Amino acid sequence: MTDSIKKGKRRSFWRELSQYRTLLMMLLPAIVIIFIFAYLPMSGVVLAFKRYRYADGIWGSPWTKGAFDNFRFFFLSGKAWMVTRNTFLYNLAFIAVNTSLAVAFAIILNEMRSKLLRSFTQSVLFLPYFVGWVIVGSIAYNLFNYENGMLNGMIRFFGGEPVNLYGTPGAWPWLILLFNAWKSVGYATVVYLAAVTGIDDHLYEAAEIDGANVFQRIRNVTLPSIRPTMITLVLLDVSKIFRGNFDLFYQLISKNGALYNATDVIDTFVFRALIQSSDTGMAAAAGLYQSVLCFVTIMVVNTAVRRINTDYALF
Amino acid sequence: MKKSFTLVLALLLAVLCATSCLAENAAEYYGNDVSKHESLVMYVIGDEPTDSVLVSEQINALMEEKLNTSLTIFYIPLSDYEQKYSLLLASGTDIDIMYTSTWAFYNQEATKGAFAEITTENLEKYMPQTYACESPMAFEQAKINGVCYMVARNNAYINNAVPVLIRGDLREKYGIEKVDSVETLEAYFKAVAENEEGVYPYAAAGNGVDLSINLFQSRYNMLPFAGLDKYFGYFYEEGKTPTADDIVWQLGTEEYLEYATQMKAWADMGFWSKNAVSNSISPRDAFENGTSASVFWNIDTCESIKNVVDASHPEWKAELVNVTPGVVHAEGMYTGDGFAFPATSKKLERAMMALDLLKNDKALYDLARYGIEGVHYNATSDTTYTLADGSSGYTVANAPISWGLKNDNLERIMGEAGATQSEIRKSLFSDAISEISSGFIFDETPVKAELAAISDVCSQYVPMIELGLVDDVQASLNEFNSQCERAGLNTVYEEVKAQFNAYLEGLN
Repeated sequence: MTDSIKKGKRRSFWRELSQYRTLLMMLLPAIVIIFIFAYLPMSGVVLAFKRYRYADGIWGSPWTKGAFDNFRFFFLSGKAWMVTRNTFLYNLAFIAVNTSLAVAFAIILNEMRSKLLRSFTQSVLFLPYFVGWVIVGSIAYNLFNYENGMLNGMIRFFGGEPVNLYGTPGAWPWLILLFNAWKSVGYATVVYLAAVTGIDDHLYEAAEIDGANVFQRIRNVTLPSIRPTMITLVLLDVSKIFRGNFDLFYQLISKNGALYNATDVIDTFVFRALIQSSDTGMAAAAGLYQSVLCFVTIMVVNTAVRRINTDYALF
Repeated sequence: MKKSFTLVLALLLAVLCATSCLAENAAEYYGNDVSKHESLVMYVIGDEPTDSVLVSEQINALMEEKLNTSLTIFYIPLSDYEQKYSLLLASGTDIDIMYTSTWAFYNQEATKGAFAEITTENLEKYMPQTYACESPMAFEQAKINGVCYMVARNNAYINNAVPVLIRGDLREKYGIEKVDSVETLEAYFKAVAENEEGVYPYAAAGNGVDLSINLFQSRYNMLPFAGLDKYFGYFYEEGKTPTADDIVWQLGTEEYLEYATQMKAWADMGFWSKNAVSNSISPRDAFENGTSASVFWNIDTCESIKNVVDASHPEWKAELVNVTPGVVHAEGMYTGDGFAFPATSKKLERAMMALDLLKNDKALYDLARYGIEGVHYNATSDTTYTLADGSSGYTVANAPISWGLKNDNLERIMGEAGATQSEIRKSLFSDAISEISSGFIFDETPVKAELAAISDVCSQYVPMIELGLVDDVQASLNEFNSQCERAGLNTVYEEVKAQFNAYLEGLN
């Protein structure tokens, strides 16, 4: 009995394979690309345990003496915990702020009647996405620097005492949140807008007939309808929660050591430590550390989501 | 259709044949067969001059004629070399000749096996002219674990040949007769800070390294070790051979505290921006734009900035001054500039010959270093030059291609025929002495993790301390040094001492 079931299953697998062969063939290029660019390079993690020499190549290079020698630099200065925490908290805040803002903007845009105003607002929101962090960094410097920044110019004009923001670590978590939201909310809004416009109009009509006002419609129709999109996007962000946005932190903070304790993330820390020796093995070790943390996080979160509702989980 | 294609192909072949048959290129270089044409790729660090293509065309014409070789030159901008240099080597890009230096990762890259070994036999055979005119010390210094990977310049670099470039018009305006000491420099800075709107005395950007080479290391006779420039060294005492016990952690000395305290005073007087560490406009650009009243750099670069400013703003009367007269000038390393041959290159022999030619052929050397005669410079005699009208198109006398070529025998002095070395150059290094420590190269492999951790701590504290942007110098230095100790400073210190002892023993 069990045997025949197994056989049946196996047979149906092959049958399905031949039945959907055209569709599967269409999928093949994507699989090949992902295999080549995502799975093959993964073998490079052995570098984290090697003393890399160009002449010997990845596989031929000698192993480090102790298994974790390449990881030592990271923990020696006692900063590993601080930068890991910073990376995690910043990304958590980014997810919370950016997602709520993006959803809010998507709903507002959707409610706008004037088409012209709507596309204008959308363009203005989207525009900062195309501005490089290098530019944002120098914009920030011109806004905030002590002697001739715009902010201090205004404060002086009104007779106030100028503020030295580049010497005030406490202000930067807020400024970083602000700049990051300014730059990335527009993009996320477009994704959510697509989800919002995809909602069946009949639902709104029915709600209206039932006497629901705008806010009730948003709460009871829009939000539940885009929840799957939200969860998927948030989960995708969570999978990168231990990867600091190097461009952002490096360009906004650059060489300002006074702010490091509040603004240093794993990526900037590793960059500064290794730029002098440019040791491939040590850089690979730091990357592996981040990958392992991210992997654990996404597994835990995804399992939790699946417990609550299988449909919402990523896998 | 097919016919016309064949015709075109035949024509092309004919043209190719004609060009290769017609050119009468050299077939031999000091007994080496060069009858086969080769093309080489060369990478140098430095900002590409506007006329680089013109110069490179002429260089190539000569290279073809004398070595049957063509040379493609790529520039790595100074602002990017930290990021790009190692990447280029790691990526396996086709490179045959590459600029290298103790400040451009020579030790690190050579230890990783990035460069081909240069043996004495190879030198004698493929670089006969260089072998004949270069001190054996230059090759000795370039050795890492007994193997040489670099063809260095043929004259020793003097680490603290560092002038200050200032604005003569501002100096005169505020009645300062002469800037020839740190005190008079401070007076000049103070006058500028108090009276000149929109001009910083020194528009520091990112860090104060260039200041500290001059006003800390040079001023206090600190001789740093190659490759550990910011970290370890010893204070020079006349007639005394340094021992391992004389080695100090520079940033923990009394002298450094004194220096940092003075920098704090300077910062408080507004000599540079309160946010100088976040500023990304280099002091050089600021000086050329008129927003900085000084530049601190090495003599070659200061002179070329002066050339630029003299052309664009002669009324500024830019002048080079020495603010630390009387300090010791020790012949440091030859390895401060040089060329290496990446291990991936398949044309090592030809690359060596090409470098030999560039370094020693008068016409090629002049082209690489001074540009095109009559366009960029005028040769007033065989050993002197003056700037020509087009000098702004090429970094005359300090062109990036020529940094690693430097050859004393072919250098020109600026001025009319018969000109001698300038006063500033005389005062900065004509009295240079030779120190036993100059050949010491530290092998960082055993303490890599510690150095990486220390490098991070330094990047957090040192720029703030050296630019005086801390509230309490003593407290910040204490905090900084205890962080360094935590990162493994003592381990590194012991390793430096042990290796220096071994080096001294090896000399006897």
